[in-house]
Amino acid sequence: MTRNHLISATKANCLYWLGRYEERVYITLHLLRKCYDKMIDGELEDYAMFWTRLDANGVYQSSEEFTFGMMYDGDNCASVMAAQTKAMDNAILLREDIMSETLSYLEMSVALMKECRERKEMNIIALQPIIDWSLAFWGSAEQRLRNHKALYIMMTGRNVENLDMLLRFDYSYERVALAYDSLKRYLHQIPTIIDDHIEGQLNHLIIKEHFNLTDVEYRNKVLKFINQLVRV
Amino acid sequence: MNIRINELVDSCNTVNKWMERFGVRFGVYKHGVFNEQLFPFDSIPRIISSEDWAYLERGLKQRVTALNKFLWDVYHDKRIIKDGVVPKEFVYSSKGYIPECEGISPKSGVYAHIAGIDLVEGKDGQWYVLEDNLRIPSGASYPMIAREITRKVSPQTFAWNNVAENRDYAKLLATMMAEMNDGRGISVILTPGRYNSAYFEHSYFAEKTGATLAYPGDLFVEDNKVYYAGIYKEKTRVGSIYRRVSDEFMDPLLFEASSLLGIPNVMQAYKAGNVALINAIGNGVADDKGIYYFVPKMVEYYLGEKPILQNAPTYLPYFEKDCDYVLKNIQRLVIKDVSEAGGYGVVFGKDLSGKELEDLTELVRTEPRRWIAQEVIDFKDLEILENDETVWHKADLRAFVVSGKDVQVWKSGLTRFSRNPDSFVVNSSQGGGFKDTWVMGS
Repeated sequence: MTRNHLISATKANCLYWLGRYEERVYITLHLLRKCYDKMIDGELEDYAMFWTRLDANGVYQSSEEFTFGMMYDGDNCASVMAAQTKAMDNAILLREDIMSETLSYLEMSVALMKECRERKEMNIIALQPIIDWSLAFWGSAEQRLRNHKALYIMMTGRNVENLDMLLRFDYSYERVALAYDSLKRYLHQIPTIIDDHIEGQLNHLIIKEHFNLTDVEYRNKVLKFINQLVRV
Repeated sequence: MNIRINELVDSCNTVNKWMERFGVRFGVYKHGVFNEQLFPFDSIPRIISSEDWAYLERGLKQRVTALNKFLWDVYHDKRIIKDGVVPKEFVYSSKGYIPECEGISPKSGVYAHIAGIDLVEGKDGQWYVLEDNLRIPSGASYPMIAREITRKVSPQTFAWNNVAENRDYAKLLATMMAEMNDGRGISVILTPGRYNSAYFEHSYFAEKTGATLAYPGDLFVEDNKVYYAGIYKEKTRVGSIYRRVSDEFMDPLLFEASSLLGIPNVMQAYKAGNVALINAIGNGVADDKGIYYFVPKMVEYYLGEKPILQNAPTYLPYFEKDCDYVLKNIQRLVIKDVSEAGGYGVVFGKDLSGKELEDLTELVRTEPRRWIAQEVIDFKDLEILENDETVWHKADLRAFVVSGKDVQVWKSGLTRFSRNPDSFVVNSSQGGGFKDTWVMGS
């Protein structure tokens, strides 16, 4: 059968957002574990910080409510459940590109999330398989995606999300610069989807002399540009 | 036959877990709300001996060949109408008849490239055809993936038993699509999208056949040719479309103007012979429940052969003699509304109250073309595993016939069973489950 090398607008969009949401799942779980660890020692204010950084509206009254909500509340756009569901919503439209084996890691993650929510599982360790499956998902996708451009679009989404979260959570210049380099490696494989003007702005902003995440204006500007860099 | 299935039966829960892992679902709209459900799988297979299969295979090939000839005839010479074998009212009043298809000649004269023929096996061992599905028959993906999974979960079962391979369905499809495509371009499967009840199947077939899954908006027509649009205005020619979108939504410029699912002007490209539509538009005229009555006559008319497969005994109230019989025996017949599908519009006379029977009698009398009536076939129950116990429920078989240059019957099929012990309705949309269908090697 003649193979199709083109990627439609629908699929490009799904690939990009699949990459973003699946990375969001991974990073949110990682950050939640750190936050959870602090809360063990009674640092109850920590969860409020999460809301501010994710631009979300916090309505939870206690750390327990916060933990449960961040894991399982599908209506909370910052929760692991919301990100996992959205990753699945995009992936399901890409079965023939990423293949059933790859998709199955997300199916299992959604099923586990629902099961844990059902039994009100509060120990974040119960969600460890989701981290394992997320890594398996990326490995499987990289191996099975026959259309390299499709892979680059998905990896671009993944790296944009990574960078976005690093900026929101005040990671160091070294981590951010490394993530930006990683993003550019994929972006330059698919130059047609980059907004060149915005890339120029980012290149100027993400250098050691200008890097200052304590400056709210600077941070918001970089975040805005990161989120407008790719046109899908 | 010496069949060993204990290990497989014991693994039923594991198989269903794997089904969940692979997202084997179907969607159902109830009260306007879309819900996705797992399709319950029963690991006790339906077993068909090689002798029975040889008989079914011959009958199915014969029936589908005649149906394709009928479709050609209806949209060209209309000999069967002129010769009085099928009354013209049944053709031209059928919702499935599409005048815009008059004179269109699909490659090799094939209209129904994929036919899903619903059969039941009577307690006397006789097989009966209940329905021909020639528009968008679905369901083959389920036994396909079930076999993939059961072979993983219980390899020993397949070492013990000589079961014909069924994972070649994708190859049958891909070969047929390539034949119809004729090297004009890529082959695509056109899906209405994720919220279609059979979306799993669309995406699974795309994966397994190597075709591109196209969504509404991905395809467009230019100079009477169909193209797939890339993200930055690149385009590639499309040679065949296995469309899972209903006729009325396929071309908004010719049919339903509000359709966002179709491809504007696709009928022009199709008429010009620039793209193959799989299945062809207008097939509904041949799988109309009213036309079903005439299929055995078509076999004799077009092929000069006695029909191998029997219809369930059927009456058409349209004919006066049949109408009298139906009205006298309505309480023991099954009455079907010819415009309904998916198990809807099927009424068993025995289940109706006196008032309901009166109302139905009146409807049959006043709108005879709308109904067919059939004797209730006491078809074989199959063993189903329910909470570790074996129960017996009604089941049917949807056999799939793929027609390209050759007519081929897939050595398997979708066995659907009722989950309600008193019900004859096996449709997944009404809660039924499914089994793998094993055709035994000789």
